Amino acid sequence: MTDHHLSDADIQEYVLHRENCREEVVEHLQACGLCMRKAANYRLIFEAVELAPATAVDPDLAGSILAQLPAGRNRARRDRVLVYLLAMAGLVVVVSGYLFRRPFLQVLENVPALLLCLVVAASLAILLFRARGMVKHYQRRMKMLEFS
Amino acid sequence: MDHNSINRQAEKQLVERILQGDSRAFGAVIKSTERLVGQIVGRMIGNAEDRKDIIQDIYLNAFKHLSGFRHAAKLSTWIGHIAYNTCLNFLEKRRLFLPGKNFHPEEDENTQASNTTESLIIHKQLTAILSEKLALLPPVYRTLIVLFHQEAMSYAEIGEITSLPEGTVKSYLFRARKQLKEHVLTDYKKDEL
Repeated sequence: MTDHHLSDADIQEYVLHRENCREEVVEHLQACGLCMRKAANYRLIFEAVELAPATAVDPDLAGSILAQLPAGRNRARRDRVLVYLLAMAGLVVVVSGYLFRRPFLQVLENVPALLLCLVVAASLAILLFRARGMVKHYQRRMKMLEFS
Repeated sequence: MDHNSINRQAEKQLVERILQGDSRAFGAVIKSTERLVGQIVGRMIGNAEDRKDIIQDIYLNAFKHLSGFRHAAKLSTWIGHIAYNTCLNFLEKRRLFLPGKNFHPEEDENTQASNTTESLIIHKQLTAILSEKLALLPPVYRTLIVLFHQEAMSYAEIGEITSLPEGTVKSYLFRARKQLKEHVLTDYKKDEL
């Protein structure tokens, strides 16, 4: 049995998941009036939270949302058609790329190297800019979640 | 076939019906998830008008993106995830993350009594105190406490809704409960809590 008083983490764990607690925690709690009282108070708080009123929603929530939905369309069929169309478009691009590869490569060869470098550099710059924005957004949100 | 896979099968059929244009099926989804969505939005957003608009946005977004739902999680968890993210985006835009800042839930029109049997009367006063003290916690803490203690969700399910690792959910919940206890203790020093 531990001689020190239990931490809040141990007491919470005891109240919520007693079966997962270490033997020494359970033994200490059974022998220590102060920790047992803390556990009883946590239990009281948890019970009160469970009984706290739930936030109610508009009783006609479903009706008001259904009224705003787009008119009934078969979205499953529409999505399937879209997938087929995209697959066909992809196939057309691949086949024409294969059939016209020589003229395409000739066109690329005629493009000045400087212009190609500019295109690649611009694309990389855009990608880096977007990635930096995403990282900053993520860091801001994490900072907010840590409440620092 | 176990209970979970039957539920998953029923959910798949429900989603299929919605995608085929059956709006009543979407009504059933709203009915089955409105309590969870109400709890998340209710704990994160203080203003009743904002809450109403946000709840509508959540369901319209869920409807719009339903064809992308892959049944990797329960439908309610997926909608809960949309609800949580919509609230986070709203708070982020308005920079309302500080604990208790601008959170004054309009209890009169937005709360409902849960249960009023005699055995609950003992807890009535503490429940009233806790509702007040819960509002002092940061929105995310309030939400985690409600999902765990009122909606009886597991750490894993809460993690799916909030996109937080299970360990982080546990750690935030521990801190939230401790803060809640300290808030109660600060004002009501009648006992060693």
